[in-house]
Amino acid sequence: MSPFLETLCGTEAATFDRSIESLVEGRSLEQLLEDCDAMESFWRETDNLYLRVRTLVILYHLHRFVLPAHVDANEASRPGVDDEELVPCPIPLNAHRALQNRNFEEAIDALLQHGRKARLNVTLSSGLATAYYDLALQSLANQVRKSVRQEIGNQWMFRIGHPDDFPLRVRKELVNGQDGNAPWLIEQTPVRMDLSHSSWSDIFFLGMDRPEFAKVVNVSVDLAMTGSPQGPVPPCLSALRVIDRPVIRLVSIDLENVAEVDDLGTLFDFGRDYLGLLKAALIASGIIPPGMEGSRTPLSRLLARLLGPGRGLELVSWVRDIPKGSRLAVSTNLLGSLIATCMRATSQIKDLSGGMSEEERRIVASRAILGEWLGGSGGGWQDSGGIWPGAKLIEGCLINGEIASAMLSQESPDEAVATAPEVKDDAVARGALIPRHTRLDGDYIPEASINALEESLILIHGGMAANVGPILEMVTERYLLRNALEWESRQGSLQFTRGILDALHEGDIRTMGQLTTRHFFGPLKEIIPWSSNAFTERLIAEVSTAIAEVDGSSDAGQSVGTATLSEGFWGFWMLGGMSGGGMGLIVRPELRERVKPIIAEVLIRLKKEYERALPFAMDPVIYDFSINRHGSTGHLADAGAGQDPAVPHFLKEYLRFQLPVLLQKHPSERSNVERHDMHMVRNLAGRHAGEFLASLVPEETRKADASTESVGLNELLERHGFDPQQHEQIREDLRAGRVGLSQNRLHPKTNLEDVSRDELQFKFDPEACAEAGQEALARGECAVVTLAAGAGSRWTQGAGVVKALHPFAPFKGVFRSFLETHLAKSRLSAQVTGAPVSHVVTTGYLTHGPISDWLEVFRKRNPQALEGVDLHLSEGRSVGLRLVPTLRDLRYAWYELPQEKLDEQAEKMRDSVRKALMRWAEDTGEAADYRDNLPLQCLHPVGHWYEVPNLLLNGTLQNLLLANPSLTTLLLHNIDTLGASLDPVYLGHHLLSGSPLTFEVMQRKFEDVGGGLARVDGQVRLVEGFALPQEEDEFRLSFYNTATSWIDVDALLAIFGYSREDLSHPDLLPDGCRYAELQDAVRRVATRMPTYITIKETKKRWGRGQEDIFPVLQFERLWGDMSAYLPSQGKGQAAFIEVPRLRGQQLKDPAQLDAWSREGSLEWFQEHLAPVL
Amino acid sequence: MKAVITAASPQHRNLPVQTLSDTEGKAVPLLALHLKDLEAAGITEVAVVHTPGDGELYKSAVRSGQQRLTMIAQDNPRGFGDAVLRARAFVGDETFVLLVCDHLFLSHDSELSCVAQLVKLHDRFQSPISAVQSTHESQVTQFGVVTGEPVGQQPGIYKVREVREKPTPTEAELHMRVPGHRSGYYLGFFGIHVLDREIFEQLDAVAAESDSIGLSPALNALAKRGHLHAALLDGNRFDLEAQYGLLHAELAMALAGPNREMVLADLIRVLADSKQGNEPAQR
Repeated sequence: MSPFLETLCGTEAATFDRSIESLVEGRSLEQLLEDCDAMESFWRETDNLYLRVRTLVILYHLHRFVLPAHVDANEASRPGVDDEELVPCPIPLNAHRALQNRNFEEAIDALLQHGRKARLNVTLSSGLATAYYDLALQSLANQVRKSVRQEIGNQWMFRIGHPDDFPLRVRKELVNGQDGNAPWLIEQTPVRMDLSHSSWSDIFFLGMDRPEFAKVVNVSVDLAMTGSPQGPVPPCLSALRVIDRPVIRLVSIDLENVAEVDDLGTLFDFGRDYLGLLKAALIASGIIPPGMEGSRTPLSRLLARLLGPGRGLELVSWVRDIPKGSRLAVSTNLLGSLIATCMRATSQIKDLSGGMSEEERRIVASRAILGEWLGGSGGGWQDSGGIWPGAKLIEGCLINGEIASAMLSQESPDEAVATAPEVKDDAVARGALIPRHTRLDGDYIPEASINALEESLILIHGGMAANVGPILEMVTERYLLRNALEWESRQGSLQFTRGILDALHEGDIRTMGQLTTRHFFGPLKEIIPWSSNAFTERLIAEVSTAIAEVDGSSDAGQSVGTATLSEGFWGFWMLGGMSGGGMGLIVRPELRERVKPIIAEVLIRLKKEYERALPFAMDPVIYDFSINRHGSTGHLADAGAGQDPAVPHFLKEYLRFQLPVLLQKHPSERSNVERHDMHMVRNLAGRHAGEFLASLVPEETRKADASTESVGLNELLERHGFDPQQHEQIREDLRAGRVGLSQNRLHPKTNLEDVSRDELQFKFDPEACAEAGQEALARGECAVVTLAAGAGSRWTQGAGVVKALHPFAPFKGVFRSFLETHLAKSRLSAQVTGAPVSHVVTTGYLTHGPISDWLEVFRKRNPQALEGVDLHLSEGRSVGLRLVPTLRDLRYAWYELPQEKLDEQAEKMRDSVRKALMRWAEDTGEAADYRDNLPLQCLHPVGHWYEVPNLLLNGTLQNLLLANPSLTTLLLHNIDTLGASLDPVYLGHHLLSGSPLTFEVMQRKFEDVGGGLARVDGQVRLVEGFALPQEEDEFRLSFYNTATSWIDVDALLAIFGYSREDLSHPDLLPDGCRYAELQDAVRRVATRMPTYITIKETKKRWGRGQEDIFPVLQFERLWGDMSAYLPSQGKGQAAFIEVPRLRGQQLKDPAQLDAWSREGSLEWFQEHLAPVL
Repeated sequence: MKAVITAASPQHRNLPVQTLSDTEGKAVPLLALHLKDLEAAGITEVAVVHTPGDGELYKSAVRSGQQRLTMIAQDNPRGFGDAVLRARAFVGDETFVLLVCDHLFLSHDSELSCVAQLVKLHDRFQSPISAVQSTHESQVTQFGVVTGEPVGQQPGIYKVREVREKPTPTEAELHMRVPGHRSGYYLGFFGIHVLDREIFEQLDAVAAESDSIGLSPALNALAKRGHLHAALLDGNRFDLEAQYGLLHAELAMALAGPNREMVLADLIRVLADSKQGNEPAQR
């Protein structure tokens, strides 16, 4: 029996929990292929969801990481493995289509149909890896959804499909308002901070599979911005009242959004506006039963059953001063708050005012999970902790409702770890969907400890708002694979949780701080290195130093984990799924108030330093906070005495919205409720007229700001060489339909063929190549050109940070940026060859300033780092202004091109958002200038083709040749191609070939999308993805462009009509009298290059850390098209050579980082760059 | 055995004297129909708890025949349980049938009325017993609901574990599901109970804790002590206070009687002639 199957079917922990590493170790390729076959049959046959998912993830792992390594190690020569199986092959189109449509089983079948050994081929293996992984996640997501629907107490809502069956009625106390004075039902809900989540043990799958590992300590907190006069309050407030019109009115005060809904369909349309959370709450609370989705019932009929004829509901949400990305589960707790309000209003929660029973809280928590599923997001299993009061231990439950291995009753922290898995003989989860909450403060944690925690903790928001979703997927994968290090860390994490509980029990906050710090630097970073970042680690170091200064301590501090903390700095604490947003700093109580302003200064300074390198959504803030001892509480704000102090604040904020609507209506048209609101406004205005008026004004201020920004944009355009004539021409062509996404393509009748591997092999002896290359390097004949003018919009989803400066991965514990890595390689090359290396970094309007500033600091901090490197910046000389997309292009991109299908709810969301964006494009004006954003977000780089002629236009190449007349070759590569280097073998091959240009290509994997190497009408060339005659042509091409090329300097100059002697003439420099001639030469070549129209996503930030993503049109010209230009102009042929993936892999998306690291790239860099980093 | 009819709802004071066409088409006041059922079950002593001032009206509307009718006025009403408590002296130590006046009970058993079916079951189990009807979740908010375990092999008989008054569907799903019952359906009170003096003790306890005295909390207390059974009867109840409640009840009675075919024919004619809104009738 395959050891993999033995493990999967094992009944003892020692077998069942064997690590993937131990299973793979020593297995030959043949044995692994047999294992794959055995598991292939197993996952199809088993009825057990968990075994199926785990098997799929193991298969993914084998195909993604293990089998390719065997193939690379040339194991093909072993008996039984046919060399031919290793030959690259095109991607089966049916498999690709199946993957896009989320038919993963069909995709797996299609890929396996290529023969038993097909899985050996790297391309097909990558496709199988993708399909197995996605099928595993799909199965998991489906199971969670099914569990949410099947949760007792939720099921009825899915059965109600007709208003006559609708059972809920709003309480009389809310309906019987007199004279339009409908009372508000107000719910205030704290947020939660987790002292430990035991290494993301709150992911649903873990809780439902190994509930004994699922342990979270979380605390409900009230918050306020530091210095706020009213002090900490529950951040989430929701309010509901009955109105005298048969509509549902939704208001988000903090998102400044209002909608009046009179049909059911809109309530199920979550992406239409910013009110998705309110809609999800109405549905998850049963007021609009989810079973009614798609019914054509008039909303008024349902409202008549709920409230009586002619009446409607108003639901309001208000997040008080908490920015997005706080890691405090604000949105889940707001959702819980809204659901609780709706449930109180319909008697599903017994009391209108006050707290809730445990059962009611559990129902709200379960409905919040349902709401998050409906809204397409996915909170953790403990996120609704704010509904509960105080500190609590949240533990996974067995399916019978009992806590699995209750931590507080354990003698030893190892007890949970030692628990063996039960025999799994059916498909039912072992764990329940909803965990159990055990209140800790009062009994287990004395009040004095809670007070001590409050006195020591400084709660901050670092300002970063990154997506934690990929991290949760990584956690799930590592859990299923039982990766040795991560599995050990998970066990260790439980012990930290136990230790934190003990420390709280003893009131020893210092020990608790040490534990949270060691937890972060230990298990959390070991399991997911990406949970940390350069900003966080600098913050910890600098706060430690700052506290030591305040404390007057000269002590070097103590080592806690891999950090060193000063005497008064008791610990760091990561909130939620990753650091950079909400974080906790634990200090000696007497220092707390003194160090707060200093920490604020450190935060702002570091943000300023990193803001062009890391995606910050806002300025960092420090909160005032207090532990909430009540949980979510309701209050009926009728006219009676004893009003909650939140009521006047709420009313003032609410009426600020309501007033413009009220004023627009003729008095005779106002309803009773509206007349009552007017009366309230008069009262408020009377008492706080100035304050109230001031609250109305910021809208106007903002508009004034926007116009100032518009001036800034014009200046920028002028400064960066914007060509208005070209811009107008493109706009005109776009509107007339002469250019556009569909016009990017080559003629449909173009003859397009794949290129075989034989044509890409070394044409010269590799040793001779190496020799030629080494000699050239020793003579200093080759320079590196790193393309860093673009923002790398996919890297941060259009956040506008400089990708080159992004400290993307920890090298030996220190986060390094892309640029640092490339410079280190040049330094290493200089060390090896003994000759200095010229290294040019091309920059653009977005990146020049930040890169220059960074270099200045970098040189000062690391004087040795650039030893042997002659660094130049080549500043861009062209920029475009983004345009609002045309509806035609949006339709083409979204509805005509094949789309990856999302899961059901996400698909609805995407469709809804797209419709909203099309309305935006239509309302704003098709092909209008895109100016409604920060100026830098409105500009666009015009493609990396321009970076090469820019070397001439800005004088960089002239300078290089002047300094180093022996320069003959440029290595041009993208900032994200980390493996690109001055490898003498490839350089030598390029030199021996005599080609003007050599492009490096690599065998395609499934995820490599965007064109490739093809024979087009007989000519071998690179074809961009959007130029392919048909979308499916992409999958006929076995080789992918790495975007790395070797350029012969003289041939390059000849393309523009110059020689190196011509170039040495000062008249051709930017201030020279023949500069225009050079510009013309560049323009002449440019006009012969294809112009591609593309749609990019750009972020627009607003409010408190909120972000919208808009599609914008831009154009670009690309260097790969030189492979077609050269032969077309009789300037010679480009050469192509295959390189391994380690050298050619580009990192376009942060989600690639984890796999990049795990396939050995990070380790390789750490090892090879160790002498220079 | 005695019987207590509660008819003290201030919103529906005329309901007991509302005439309905019985199964044979004769116009009979509702109260008289109830008395007839009780008489068929052999119960001759009946008390009617009413709103002060209505006693004479009710008495004059019915011919009590062999039955002795006691009228009990409920001043300062504190709920349904309070109405039952007012009959304590009348009941004494006897077992009694409790019947709500605002429902109509229609037996499908030609031999036994709904009351008689329940009395028979009480005699068998010698325990307080409530008649229940399978009730859709859309209506559970209008009834007291019970849950429990089926008793032996007897279909439709339950040992009640818990009683909740008008639960929300969420509450019902969490607590009131019944083994072997269709999902979305619960055991809602039928409107007839056979109780003994223990109920008064439980009602006293409820009265001591709350201003409003519900019957369900007292029945729940009986259930907690294992003293309450529930039975699905061979019949239907009709809530006359519900929208079209009277219409449904009359139709059901007419269709259960000897004139069924005539009524059906009339119904078909009404259907054929019916029109919606301004649409002209097609003849």
